[in-house]
Amino acid sequence: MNWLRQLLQRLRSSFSDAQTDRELDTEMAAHLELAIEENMKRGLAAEEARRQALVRFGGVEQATQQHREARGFQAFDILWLDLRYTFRTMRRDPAFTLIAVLILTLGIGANIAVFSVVNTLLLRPLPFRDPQQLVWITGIPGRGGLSSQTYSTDAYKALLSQQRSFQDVTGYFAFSTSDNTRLMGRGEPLLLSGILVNENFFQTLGIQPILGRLFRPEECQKKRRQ
Amino acid sequence: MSDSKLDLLQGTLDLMVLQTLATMGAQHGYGIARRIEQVSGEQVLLNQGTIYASLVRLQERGWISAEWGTSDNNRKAKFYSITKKGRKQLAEDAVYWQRLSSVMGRVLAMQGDDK
Repeated sequence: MNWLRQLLQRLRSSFSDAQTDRELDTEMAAHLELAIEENMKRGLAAEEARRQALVRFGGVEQATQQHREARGFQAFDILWLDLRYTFRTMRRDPAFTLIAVLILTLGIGANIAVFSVVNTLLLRPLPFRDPQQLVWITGIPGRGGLSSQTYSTDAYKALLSQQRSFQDVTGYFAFSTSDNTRLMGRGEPLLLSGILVNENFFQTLGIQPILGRLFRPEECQKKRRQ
Repeated sequence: MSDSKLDLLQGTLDLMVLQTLATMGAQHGYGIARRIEQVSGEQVLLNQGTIYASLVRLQERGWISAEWGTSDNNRKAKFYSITKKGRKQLAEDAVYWQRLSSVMGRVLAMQGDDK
């Protein structure tokens, strides 16, 4: 409770600072007058009495500063003054403000863009069964662009029959784009992304169809069924 | 180094203010400062202005209260007096300082055997 009362008092004192400062001024003025009076009673001339009183007081400005620090003037008010100063400066110099806002906008925007990519690619797990066991086999990037990073059917078959490291190897037809298929029927045609895949593609990724079934082996042999 | 020194001085000044108010009753800032100077045999060269930071600190802790009034010579002045809570705190702090100073006294009075 103690800290709460102190905090409230500090908040209040930071709102009524001008008032508190004025009261302190009055108080310190009374202090000095009392001191001067006492010095004069001791037989000092008015000027000397005043000088000595000020020396003993040790700096009105420092005392005010210490008083402010003790009552928690600093944190809230410096923040407030800084904010006001910032807005004043920004209003006075619109070109600077524009550039600053632009830089911040671009910076924040770039961060959001990079984060969404990193989040999707690196942080979020792939939506497949045991995604940590999935490996993407790719060729060495060479002069041929994507073509040099893909495998021919023969290479795939060799990989499938000779590898001993994986539970299964599957593949898909890489040269495709999204929204390449239209679903026609009743109503509006729907754009879909279709891609040619190997017969074991879904089993390897651990995907079960919600409706219908997966490929049958005989459907995947050459010249059996279209 | 200078920081810890300042802290010690602050703590002692607060205690001196509390004790002064406890023995003298309501007092204004100047009265408290003069009283401390007199009692200490003018050995504490107090910047009298620092007393106001101490007073506001003690007020925030609820150990003293303040009220505007008129001084002997008809001047408007703020009078401070110690609260019940302040008296309790004073008792605690006084015990602490007495223990500390007696321990310090004994430690500093220690003499080697070969002297």
